[in-house]
Amino acid sequence: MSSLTKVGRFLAALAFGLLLLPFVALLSETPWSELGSILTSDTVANALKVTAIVVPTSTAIVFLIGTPLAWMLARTSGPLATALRSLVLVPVVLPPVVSGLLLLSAFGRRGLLGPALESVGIVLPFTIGATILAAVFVALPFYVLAAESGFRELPATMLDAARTLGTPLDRLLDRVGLRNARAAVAAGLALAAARALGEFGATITFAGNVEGATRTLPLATFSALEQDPDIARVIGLMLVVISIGVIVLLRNTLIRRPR
Amino acid sequence: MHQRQRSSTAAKRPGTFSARWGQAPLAVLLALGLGACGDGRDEVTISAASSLTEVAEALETELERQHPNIDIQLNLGGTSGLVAQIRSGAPVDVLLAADQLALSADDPLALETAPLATNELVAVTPPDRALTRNDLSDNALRIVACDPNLPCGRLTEHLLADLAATSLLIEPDSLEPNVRLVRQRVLSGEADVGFVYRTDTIGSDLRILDLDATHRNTVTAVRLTDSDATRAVMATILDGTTVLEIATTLGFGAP
Repeated sequence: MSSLTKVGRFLAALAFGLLLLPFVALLSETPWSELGSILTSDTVANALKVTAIVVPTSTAIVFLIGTPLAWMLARTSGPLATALRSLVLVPVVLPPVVSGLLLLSAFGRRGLLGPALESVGIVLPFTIGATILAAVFVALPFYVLAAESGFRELPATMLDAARTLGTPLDRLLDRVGLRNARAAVAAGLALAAARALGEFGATITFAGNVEGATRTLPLATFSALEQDPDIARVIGLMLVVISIGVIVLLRNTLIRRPR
Repeated sequence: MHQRQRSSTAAKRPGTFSARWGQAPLAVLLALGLGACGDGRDEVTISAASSLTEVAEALETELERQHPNIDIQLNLGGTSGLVAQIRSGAPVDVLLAADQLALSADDPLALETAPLATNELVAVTPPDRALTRNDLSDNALRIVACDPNLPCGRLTEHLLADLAATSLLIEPDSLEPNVRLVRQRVLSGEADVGFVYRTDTIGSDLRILDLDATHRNTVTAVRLTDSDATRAVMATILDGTTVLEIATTLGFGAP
């Protein structure tokens, strides 16, 4: 296993080529001369606006509710914790369209909580709230798992010391946990933001395709593909650039994580 | 379905990475390549609009009955998406489009086009929701329609323009990628009003709202390739009875 044979090297090159070729192809098809006019068009501007609201908001919610959950998972063991951890993982594996279906069952107008929500004036589907909820649902596991692994690596003695000094849990989390697991938390947030950015299936299923409210950049790409592929290519290129930005952010935290 | 089982002849001996696994991907590629003619029948791929789902499924059965040596592959989706696939080189032999504009007769890709049936656009409401024409201008209503780049979306735009001329202003909220998703939004009660084809309402409890305006699309068959099998399939589609019988049973109008 120490070195690859000729066939192994060929397969590795094949894998790399497979990953690289589509990007080269997209660049070669990008309508550079129309770049400016497409980027400033209403279609792109509206979708960019939705994405610019949805990604930071959902990432903030993920941080807010995911951190205590990650902390709890990191500090507990046994069958219950294993079951909880598996449950948290499910949206990672689930096809996003199924996530959308689950969200409809729970928060749709006729879903489990739909009537109760409607009685207080909240109808989620077709609103930006639904888009954010869908993003939170699919992105949460990525953050929780990364943050949990960070919290797990904290020395128990340090935590015990803090606890015996009588620091309340939330303060403990704030002072000790987040500071010392900063790299893992940052990596988790970047992963969650990336997942929220790319979210498509759950959004179109649960939130619909409403310009200015639920039509994010990925949904706009999908719509444009059938109408004007050049617009789709430009939005695609924009998402590639943003994704590379996320990777660079990740490289500094996750990939070259200091030990 | 017709893909062969992956060959299990890959060496089982322990050893280097490539000796154990190197042949597996090649075997998969080989199996995929052979899959097309796995059982010796000629494969004809038909892309059909979502609104034609039942027509296409019945047609598949009928075509395979009439041509035992042809295997029909169905690819279903919104017409504009199907056309986008074809324009980017998807190997499709026949397109059943929801209108005549999606891939018109003068398009170089279209070798032969023919009208098959007609379909009418209607406004629908959930089974337990009775609305009248004048309720439609209520801004609180959640209205869904097809994306305007779809045939049903183009038709909806025409209908809404007509209604606007009578001072009934309606603006759809969510624009869905195919007509069946519009129907589903209304059936599930997420939307109050949807614009679908009359045929989409058959067999469901959806209420049809009388709008006093008629807008129709013409379902069109387009032949895209020139093989003998494709010609035979197209000839059967156009023979005037097969498709029309299926379509009229399902509520379509004559072309």
